[in-house]
Amino acid sequence: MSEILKVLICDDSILMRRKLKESIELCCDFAEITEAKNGQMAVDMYKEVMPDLVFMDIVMPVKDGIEAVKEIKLFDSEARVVMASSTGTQLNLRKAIEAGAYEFVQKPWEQSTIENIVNKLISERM
Amino acid sequence: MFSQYFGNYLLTNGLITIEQLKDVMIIQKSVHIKIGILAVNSGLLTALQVEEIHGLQTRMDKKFGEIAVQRNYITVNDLEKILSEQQNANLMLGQALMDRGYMTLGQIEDALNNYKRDYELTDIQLKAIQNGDIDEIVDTFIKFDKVKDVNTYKEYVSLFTRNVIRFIEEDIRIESFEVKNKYLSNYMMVQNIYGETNLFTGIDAKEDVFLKFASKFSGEEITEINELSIESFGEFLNLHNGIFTVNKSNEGVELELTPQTLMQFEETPELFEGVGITFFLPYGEVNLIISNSKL
Repeated sequence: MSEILKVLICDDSILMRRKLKESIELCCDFAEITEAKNGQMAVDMYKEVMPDLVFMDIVMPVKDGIEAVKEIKLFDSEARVVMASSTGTQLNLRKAIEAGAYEFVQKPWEQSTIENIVNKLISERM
Repeated sequence: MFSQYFGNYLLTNGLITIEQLKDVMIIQKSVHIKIGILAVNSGLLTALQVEEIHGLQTRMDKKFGEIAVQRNYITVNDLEKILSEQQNANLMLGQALMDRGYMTLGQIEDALNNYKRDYELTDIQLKAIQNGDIDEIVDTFIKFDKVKDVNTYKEYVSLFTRNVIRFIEEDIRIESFEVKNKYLSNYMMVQNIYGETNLFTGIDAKEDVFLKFASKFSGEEITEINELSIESFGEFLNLHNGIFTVNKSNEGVELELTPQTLMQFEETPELFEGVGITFFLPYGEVNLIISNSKL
């Protein structure tokens, strides 16, 4: 892993992308963050940027987060995609696991949740 | 919350003037103390614990006191003492009315009795409303005449009311309004819930209230209709609907959401079993529309 932590944030809400970016920057000052506002953009940007970590909303226009995760995992089986959604239902948890998600975060998140995920990724990659 | 209802009742029954009501509401509001502050003040919780509980409240449909007890920060007895202290603060409306000479104790008592009679409330129900029991408030003031699945609608409206109180404004009043086949929006965020239950949900406000609401939720001052204001207003609805779907999932009912969209000065699709609730906030009104959906 390079010294920079490349993170892709995908959410159709500019407010959520902003808050997530702030959370990540609070726990990691070497993060390079790119943003996408729907699942299709996320897939396209993943192929371009090859981030270390992705945060993906589920309910989005154009392409939802579950479909986006499946495509990203097909492209890169090592992809680390964290689902960050307000709809943490049993059904969505199941779909996320089946799609190959790395973690699931219920919105709104606690700062410690984001820190734990980032730290977990960093220690796995060492 | 009860003071909003009782104050409005006194006004609409000609017992006080609007100026008198505004006056006593300002006095009453200035002494309304949140549970967190009461707990810190009495040494039962630290400020950090209060902050932690507020954070958990954004993810759980639980009251502050419930979470504090669950986490063993306070006992049930401690919670009862704090709630009783807060309840005393709510009595300030009556005190303010008397101190200002607007009403006598006898007149307040008569008005309370008439209020109970007009709304067909028992003493227990009135007490529950005075204590801010949202379920009791929804049961009393919101009509679900046109609806078949009353329990789901009540659950939804109670949860929405609690989320408005948690994230936007504490001192609110809610009332039903009639929804005909369609609703003409101002600035309205809509989202459909689908699965074992299908619901059309929307929150609507005029521009100035829309912006204040969005500002409150985002924590940023927003002064114009733009991407941020639209998404803040919409994200509140999304967050609320998300919590609703999680609660239903825990009951074994699986539901999903469509993305939120904005309707501006448009008519909604046809509403079957439409229910309308107005949320009276200090700076204006927000309408919640729920309806059975053909989605």
